[in-house]
Amino acid sequence: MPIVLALALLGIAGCRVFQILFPGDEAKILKLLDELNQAVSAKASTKPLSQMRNAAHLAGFFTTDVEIRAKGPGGGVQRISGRTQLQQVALTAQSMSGGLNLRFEDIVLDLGSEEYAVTCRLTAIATRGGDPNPWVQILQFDFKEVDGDWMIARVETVDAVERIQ
Amino acid sequence: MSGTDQQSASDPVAAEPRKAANWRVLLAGRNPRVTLARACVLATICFVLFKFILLPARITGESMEPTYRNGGVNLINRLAYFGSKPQRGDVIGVTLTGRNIQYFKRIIAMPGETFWIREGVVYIDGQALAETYTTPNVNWTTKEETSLGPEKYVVIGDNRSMDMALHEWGIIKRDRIVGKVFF
Repeated sequence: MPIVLALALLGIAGCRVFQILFPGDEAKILKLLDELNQAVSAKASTKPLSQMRNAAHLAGFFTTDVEIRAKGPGGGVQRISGRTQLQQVALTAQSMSGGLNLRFEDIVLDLGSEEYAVTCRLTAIATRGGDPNPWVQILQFDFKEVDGDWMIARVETVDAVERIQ
Repeated sequence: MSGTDQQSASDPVAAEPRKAANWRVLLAGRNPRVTLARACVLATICFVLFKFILLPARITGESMEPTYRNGGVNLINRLAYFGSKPQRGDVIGVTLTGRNIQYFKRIIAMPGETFWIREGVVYIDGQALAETYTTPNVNWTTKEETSLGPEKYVVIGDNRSMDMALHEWGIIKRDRIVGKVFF
C-alpha cells in the first residue's frame, strides 16, 4: 500500500514538473496575461524613466500590427493601431496621477478556433488611485503565434450591457 | 465516598489523563467518528450553498448607493428565478464572463415594454415610474423611446447623482441574470 501511494505521488509530481518545463498553450497564454496586467499596472510614484521602460516592455506583448478597440468610461471608443501608438498611449496611462491598477478575472480561453490563433474573453477591472468606481469591461483578446511565442494581435471590448443613448 | 476515591481525586498523576480526556471531549465530542461525520456534512452543505446557490459578493463602486454602499457584502440567490421571472425593482447580479465579477443593478423595465428617461424621470409605456429608492437627476435624459424585445430587461444603478455617461446601465439579455440579491 505505501508503495502504491508513493508511486502515485511520484506520478503527480512528475506530471507537475513536466507541465512546468514544457507548458502548453493555455499555460503560456495565462502567464502572458498575468505579465500583461502587471505591466499595465503602475504605481503613482513610478519615475518617468521607469514609465518609459514599462511602456516599452508592455508593447512587447503585442504584434507590430496590433489593433485595439476599447470602450472607455463614458462610452467613448479608443482605437489604437500598431505597437508604436500603443507605446505612446501606455506611457500616457502610466503617467496618470494616482496610479493605475489592472486585474483580469474569469478568463475563458478558446484554443480550438485556429491552429495558430487563440481567442480569450475575460473581465478586466481597472482602478485609478483615489477613484472608488472601477472600470469593469469584458475584453476579447485574439492571440497569434509569432516565431514560437504567443502575442496579442487584437483587443476589443465586448458589451455585457447594451448602452441606451 | 470511599478511601480510594479520595486518594484519586487528590492525586495529580491521576488528574492529568482526566484533564486530557475532557479536552478531547470538548474538541471532538463524546464520539469522534460522529463528530467527524457531522463536520463533513456541515462542510459539504456550506460548500454547496455558497458555491452554487448563495454566491457571496463584495460591492465595489458607488453606482448602487444609497441602497448598497461601496465595500458592503451581500449574497446573490441563484435559485430566486428558478420557478419565477425577474420582476421590476429586483436588484440582480449581472454576469460578465464568469462568476467572480458581476454588476449589481436594479431592473426597471421588462421585456416588451417601452422605456424612456426624461429629465431624470423614468417612463415605462408612457407612465412615470415611482422610484422610492433613488433621487431623480434632471440631467439624465435619453434621446428617444426604446422598445424592449423578448427576454430583454433594462437595468440601472440607484445612484443617479453620477454622470449618466459614466454609469454602466442599459439593456441586458435574460441569460446574463445570475440571481437576485439576497438582502
